Amino acid sequence: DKEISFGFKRGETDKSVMLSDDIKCARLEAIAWILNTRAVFGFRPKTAYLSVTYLDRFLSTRFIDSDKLWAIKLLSVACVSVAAKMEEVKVPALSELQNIDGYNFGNSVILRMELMLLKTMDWRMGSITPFAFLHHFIRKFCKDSSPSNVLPR
Amino acid sequence: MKKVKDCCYKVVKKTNGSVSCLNILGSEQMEKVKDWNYKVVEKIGQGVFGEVYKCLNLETGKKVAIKMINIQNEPEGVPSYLIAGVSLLKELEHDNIVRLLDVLTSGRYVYLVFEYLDLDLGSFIRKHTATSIRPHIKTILSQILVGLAYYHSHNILHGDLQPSNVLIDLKSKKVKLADFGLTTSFGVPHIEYSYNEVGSPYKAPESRIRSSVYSTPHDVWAVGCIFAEMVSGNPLFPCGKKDHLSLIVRYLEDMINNLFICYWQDLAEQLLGLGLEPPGVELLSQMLYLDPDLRVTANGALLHRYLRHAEDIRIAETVPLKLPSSNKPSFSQKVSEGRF
Repeated sequence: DKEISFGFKRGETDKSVMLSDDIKCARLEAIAWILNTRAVFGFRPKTAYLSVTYLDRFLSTRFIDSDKLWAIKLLSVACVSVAAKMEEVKVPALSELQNIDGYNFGNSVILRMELMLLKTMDWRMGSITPFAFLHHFIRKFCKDSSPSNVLPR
Repeated sequence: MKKVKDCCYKVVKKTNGSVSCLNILGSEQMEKVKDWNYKVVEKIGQGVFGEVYKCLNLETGKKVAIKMINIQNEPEGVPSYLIAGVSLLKELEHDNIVRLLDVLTSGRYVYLVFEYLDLDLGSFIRKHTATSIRPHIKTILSQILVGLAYYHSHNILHGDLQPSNVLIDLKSKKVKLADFGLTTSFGVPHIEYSYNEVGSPYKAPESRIRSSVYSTPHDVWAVGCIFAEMVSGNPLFPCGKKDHLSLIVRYLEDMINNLFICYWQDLAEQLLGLGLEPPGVELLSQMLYLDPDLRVTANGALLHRYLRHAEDIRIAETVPLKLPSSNKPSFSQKVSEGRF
């Protein structure tokens, strides 16, 4: 149930086909930025996963003009920031997040974007991710080793 | 006094004739809720995270509590406790838990709209005598526990259970747990959230002795305190000079055990004298177990024989849940008397 309610709007797959090439490129760029940012700050993999989920959920519900591609950059900063706040113990300040690859907006702009993102997602930020099941499966498959040895949480 | 009114203050006449001023609007920011069809009635609380106002939904006529949070710390953006807290509250949907109805944003203000009921257990206890409250104890206690078990099954701690956070709806005979602070989940790191746990009389002893991790037994302890308060009419461990628990805590842990057993025996006799059935005393003792690991869980307490038939006797079927004296305490009265 939770998965469905958190999932994308129906017909999301069709819609992503409908996304213009520009948006698709911008999305790929945003994902690359998210993965890079994760590496720089040493976030958990789940944080990056959540960021991308937020990004896609936002893009599937709201339309962004292809001449406003900077908005996707801003969006990806907000996604990472919110995901880090959900997952990480130590959350970097907004200004630190922006120092990577010329993603420079200003704190109050990001704050507004965060609020817009939260509102668009209806404040339901705790998506179920495959990470929740990994430990269970590892325990099933490798009976001898404890999950904590195989995979950092 | 008229002038005061002009500057957004409401003049409240106390029963004893004195007059106090309440800042009802707090800031113009609260005026914003008019745009969403809410009318501010009065301010009912000030927490660490923001101010709480009682409001009226002009469309449905329902009462709500709106918590206004100002995001001041710009370098961090939307604070993590807010994101995690609201995400959690969004998941909760239960008869015995006050609902988070809506989240509104305007500028850098976030407004959390909660369901609201006019009567809280604190005033319910004060309005009753030991005898008149007795028929309600089981059903109120079991509804509190059902709500708490639901919290715990979702990995969420209430963290601030006390009679003023237990709301009663006389019409639907429902008891609902409220928490206009933000509940904390124990699935996520929550050290940074627990600012406001200073000196509540419903706080479990282990949290005073060592800085142990906040956990589910703390909540059950608080329910035990509330249970005893319903029976005796007075807080079990009142704040102030006669703070039995603080006294006890000064001794070493094993000393505490001995002392507590003595204290408990006195208390048990006292409660039996007040008409509590022996199984009730037994349940209370399990809820007030000093060792948090041995303390009964919310679900365990529900299965206790004292509450065996409590679920069948919904309040509706017991004596009509009416206040013995007709004058229901108004909220402004309570606020002005500082009972909040």
